[in-house]
Amino acid sequence: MAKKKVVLAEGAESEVVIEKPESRLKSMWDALKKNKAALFGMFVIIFLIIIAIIGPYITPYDPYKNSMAEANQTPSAVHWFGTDTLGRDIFSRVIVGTRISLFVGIAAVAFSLVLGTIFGSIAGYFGGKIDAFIMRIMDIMLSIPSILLAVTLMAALGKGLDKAIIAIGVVSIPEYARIIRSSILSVKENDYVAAAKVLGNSDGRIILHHILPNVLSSIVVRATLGISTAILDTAALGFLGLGVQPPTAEWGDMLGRVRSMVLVYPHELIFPGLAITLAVLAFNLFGDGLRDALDPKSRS
Amino acid sequence: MVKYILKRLLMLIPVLIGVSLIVFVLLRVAAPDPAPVVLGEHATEESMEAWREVNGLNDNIVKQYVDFIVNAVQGDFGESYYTNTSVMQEIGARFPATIEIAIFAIIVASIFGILIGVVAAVKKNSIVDNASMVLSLVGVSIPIFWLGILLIILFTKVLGWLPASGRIDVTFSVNDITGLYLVDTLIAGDFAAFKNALWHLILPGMTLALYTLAIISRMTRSSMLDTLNQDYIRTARSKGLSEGKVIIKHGLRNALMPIVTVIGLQLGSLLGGAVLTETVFAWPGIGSYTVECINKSDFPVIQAVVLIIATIFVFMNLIVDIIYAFLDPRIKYGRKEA
Repeated sequence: MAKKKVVLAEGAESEVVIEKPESRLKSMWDALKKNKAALFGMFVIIFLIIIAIIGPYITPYDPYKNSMAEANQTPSAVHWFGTDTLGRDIFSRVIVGTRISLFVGIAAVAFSLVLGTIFGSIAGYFGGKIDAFIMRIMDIMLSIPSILLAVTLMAALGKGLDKAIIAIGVVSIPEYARIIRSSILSVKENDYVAAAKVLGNSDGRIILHHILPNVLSSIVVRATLGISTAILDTAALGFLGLGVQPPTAEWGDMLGRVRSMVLVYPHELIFPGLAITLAVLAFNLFGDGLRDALDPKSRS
Repeated sequence: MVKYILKRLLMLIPVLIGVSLIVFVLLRVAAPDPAPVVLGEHATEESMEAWREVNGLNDNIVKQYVDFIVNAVQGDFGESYYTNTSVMQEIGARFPATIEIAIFAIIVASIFGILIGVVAAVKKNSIVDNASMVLSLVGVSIPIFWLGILLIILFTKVLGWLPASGRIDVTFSVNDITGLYLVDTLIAGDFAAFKNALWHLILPGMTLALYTLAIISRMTRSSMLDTLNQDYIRTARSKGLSEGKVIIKHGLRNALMPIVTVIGLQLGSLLGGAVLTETVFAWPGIGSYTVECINKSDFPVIQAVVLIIATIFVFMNLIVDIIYAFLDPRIKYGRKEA
């Protein structure tokens, strides 16, 4: 990231440019190491990522194979989490579902992050009428409760995984746009931005190379916490039957399909929900830890 | 003050027009043609064409939007594609159920949230404080629908204490006056029905409340901690006031403002959360109705619901701001907030 700028700067300057992010990373890691909850969150996230990658190869059963003879079994040594109404192994389906939830969560955050950064940067950097116009649109989006907006988007876009990513991504755009905008407003007046302007850098270049790197930490924190919200929203859409379509194993969808059986087969509703909660909790803990590590003032 | 309120009211107009545009573009322009869904797969092209004509979907898109807005302002959101009754009537029949559960949830969340937050702040780093930390973390991490499912498993399946679905048992008849069963049964003096309605309300109400409770308790804790470090608290203590008086009268009262704000702002997300909670508990409110309508492309209903909820939400924000301005003389009415 910093290498390209070395050409521009003098020898001594370039070293500073390269050094700074590293030392910052290290001090962040030192602070993070002491936070047990954040470490726990981090390990769970690493664990979930590993499961997401190797999951499909390690399932004890085929998560998509129906077996009516084995339907609705309670947890046992053979089927650890029991089987669902079609006789599929719930343990295998929960494992396979990890990849979908993480993928949708991260993809949705990436989507809203990119668009939110673009809108927020433009609004904050240029100010004036453009700023007022963009932020007014963001206000309008924020005046619709997020789950209701996501559900309406799904009605317009139709069901499916890709559409769920867009719907969940869109509802968080205002949040990122606001953070980026206010960060840019506070950074924009610094001397180095003025210097970059004097040197004849284009607006886009100044935003990309001089402003955004300086607001990166707040974006990273927000995005980590955002993944937890996105995983929750994915599960919610799945639960309402608006997310992925059968037979795909998605945690929320697994809950939604058997919800009317809650009094008959409660075990089928325990484990997928546990998986969602664990994933969301992990990203929340890690995100909180990151925030505290980056900004010691926020520690209570 | 009046000028400030009027100005803020005027500022709501572009927001609501914007919401209506978003909803309209999404459901009338971007969404797939509802005709095959409403009329069924085997409908002929002619019958679908006739249906679109009747429902005004063949008109020029600008005319459709203008019609939509002009009618909406008069409280007319058209008719449901299925029942042919007015959307307002359909929503009106279900709205009280949602209001009832939302009010119940906000009351529960406020009482317990403030209580937990105050105790956590006063006894910082104690067991209560740590427990409240865990509770709020779980509160924001657990999917609301899964919480509902867990409560059903515990209180209905295992303990058999509370009902898992509906608003009241069919054996009771409720005279619809306010539409809020707890109020209506009290007016009628039917205590058995009141108890039954309350029993039905507890699980969905608690489910809806937990997230808000978590937010309120965190806010109360940090606000109380700020306040308790102020000099006037020390002064109050040195005057020899009892600890309870110091905490409630001097602490909580001054810490209350940000808490009230959060409570006001949470009402909007409660109405959103009702979509999931109502679906879990088969609660006959507008949340579960909206999901039902999305699954069958009943777009006039969805348009109306989103617009109505957004309207309530922006008005709640406005009311919170007005109360805030009223309570805090430092806020200048003329200044635009940053």
